[in-house]
Amino acid sequence: MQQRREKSPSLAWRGRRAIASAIDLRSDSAVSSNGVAAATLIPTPTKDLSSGASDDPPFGILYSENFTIRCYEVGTNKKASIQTIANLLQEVACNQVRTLGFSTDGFATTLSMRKHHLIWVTVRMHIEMDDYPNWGDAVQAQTWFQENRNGTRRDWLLKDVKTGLTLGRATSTWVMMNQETRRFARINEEIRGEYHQYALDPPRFSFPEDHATYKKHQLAKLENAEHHITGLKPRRADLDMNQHVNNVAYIGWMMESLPADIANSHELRGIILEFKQECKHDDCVESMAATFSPADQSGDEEHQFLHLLRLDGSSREINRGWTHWVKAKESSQQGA
Amino acid sequence: MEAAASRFFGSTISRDGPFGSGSLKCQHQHECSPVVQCMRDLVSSVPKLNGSRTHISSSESLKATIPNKSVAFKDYHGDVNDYIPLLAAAIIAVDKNKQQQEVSLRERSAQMKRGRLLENDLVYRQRFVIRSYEVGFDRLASIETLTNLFQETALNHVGMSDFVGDGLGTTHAMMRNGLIWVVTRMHIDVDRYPVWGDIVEIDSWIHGAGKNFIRRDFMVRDFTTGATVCRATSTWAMMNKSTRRLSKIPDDVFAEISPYFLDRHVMEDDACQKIVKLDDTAMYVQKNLVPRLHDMDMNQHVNNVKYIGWVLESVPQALLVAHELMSMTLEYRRECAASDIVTSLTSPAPSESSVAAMSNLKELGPPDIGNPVITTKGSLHYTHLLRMQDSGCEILRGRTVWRLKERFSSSS
Repeated sequence: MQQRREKSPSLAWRGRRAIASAIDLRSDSAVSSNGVAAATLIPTPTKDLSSGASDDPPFGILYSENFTIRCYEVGTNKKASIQTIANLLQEVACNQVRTLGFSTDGFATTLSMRKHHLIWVTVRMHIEMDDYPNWGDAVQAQTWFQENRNGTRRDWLLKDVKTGLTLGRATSTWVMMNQETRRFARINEEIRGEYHQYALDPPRFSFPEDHATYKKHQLAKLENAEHHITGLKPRRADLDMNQHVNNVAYIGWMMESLPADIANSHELRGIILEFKQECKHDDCVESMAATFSPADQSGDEEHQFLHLLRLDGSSREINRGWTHWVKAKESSQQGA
Repeated sequence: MEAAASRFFGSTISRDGPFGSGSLKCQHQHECSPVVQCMRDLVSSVPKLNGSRTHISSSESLKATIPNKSVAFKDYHGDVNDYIPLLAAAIIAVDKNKQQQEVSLRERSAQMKRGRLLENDLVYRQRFVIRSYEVGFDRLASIETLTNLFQETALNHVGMSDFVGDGLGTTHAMMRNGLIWVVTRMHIDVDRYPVWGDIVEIDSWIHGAGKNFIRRDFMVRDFTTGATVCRATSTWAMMNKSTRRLSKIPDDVFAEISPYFLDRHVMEDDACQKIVKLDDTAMYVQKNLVPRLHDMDMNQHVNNVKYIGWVLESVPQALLVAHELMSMTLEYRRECAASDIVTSLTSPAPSESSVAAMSNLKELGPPDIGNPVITTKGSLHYTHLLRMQDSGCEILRGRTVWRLKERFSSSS
């Protein structure tokens, strides 16, 4: 026996590894204890992401869930709207933290966070979509978070289940805020210790090119905007579990000020939102947009806009934004 | 129902969502390593081994030397060179098997987005998980969420039948006649609202209602407990696509759809009390409601569910902390285009003369969780109207009944 091993150790080892990987690739499928849609641990293809080890991280750090696009989530072009995508990103993030044991009241807090009245708030969100899913498509949303200088950065990857193609990527930055004083808070070791073990380390970024420079990507504040709309009020359905306007509602408001022909004939390729101030249900919001033209702007094929949302009649910013539109390939506008 | 679920999902009684791929466990169970199993299969099927022509008999002799179940693979004492190609072939076969399973798993997941047909293929059943963004500030799913799920269930039901597949449930005969379905009435009775993470199971079927209407009924149950969540019925008529006028159901269309009728009613028809048309004397008025960009559905109309949101916009918000919607009746009169501006009116129903129902809650401001407004222990009745702001044309009439939420009604 000893002799056989010495003859070809590398071959036997490689053989065992090959068998192991062939069998175990689909091993971990987790069922949450409270009957929620199952989370599946699927190894991330490393070619999509910049750095990071090729070994799979422990369970719970990478969380993945499948969603089917429902009929009311698609827009006039029969594809899922960006609000649907943003909702699914939020849903998979909420489900991950619920699986990890954070609070389920919508604030995703840990024990010591609640002791200090701290909640997570998002300050920036960046979504890029290569393609949108259609009604009935199954979409796999994978999410994880990693530590940042002052908080965490949560990344997502969206794939089509049937074809395996990547539909889009997203990233967001989160900091802690004191619920009572509404001021940002530093994270001390006690608090960090409660979520630190679920953060992906070494980090992997959905936008590797963005990571080094994201701090410099502060969007400019608009002063005079060519597109302008006022009187936007939050609806009942825009309020989330915490009675603040849900982040996704801001996306709709940002796009309201754009001319309808652009919104209908183009597809949203990328969107960045920088959240400055939260919005209550009785606020009235003004949405402004201005064309942002980099040097290689050409005709009607692509448009980029800078956006600003602010309280009607005041200069208090709620949100800054940037959108990138690309002309839709087939203009399938079928009448009913 | 549990037995049906287990039949559907195979041996695992799954508490998972209807389309989480983790809910489908691999069906093959191996007593020994899959590689060894594969090797045995290979040996018995492949006539050629090690580059030399061999017959079945020699492969059988080789098979005799392959360890059986009772001998562990590591105790095999044969020549290394014999089993390297077998090992390689086995690995390839296992990998291919896994890939095929993955493909069929994906296909099955793709199919599982839809539910299944029961009872002679007349009842359609589908499960949904309530998502976090579908619940309101009180953590309960909103009535819009439930109505959206009805819409999805109905469309998936007709998707399973041999209809045109345009997303509207049009049959071939309807297309020939230039007709489309349009909803004229909707009635929902809610027993218990689901919360984030709940799995609901919706059953839906259709039955005739006279010569000109059909009814689609919905029965929603909590999948985990089996308790009824809500029941709903909707009335549908035919409308001419170009003239936008209601029309009778032609005989050929009726012949196409009547095989799908199931004569079962999810609720008794209420005596169809006439809903009063409100005017400017209504107690609560909300103006300047406009369809937003994403309110348009795939058919470029304002989605039916958005009307519900507008109806509830004019309900005094302070009511919403302690009260929940028990039942809602909507009568659709006219559709709304993207460029219309809508006014929503609400008034306490005149038939309910309780003092509390007449009290004006307008001044009480936004819902305050810490300070619930409770005016009466009984139910509150309201009448609603949606109309075009400019022309005054009626879009829909509604009636709602509200009751105290469970946690408020038990106290004192």
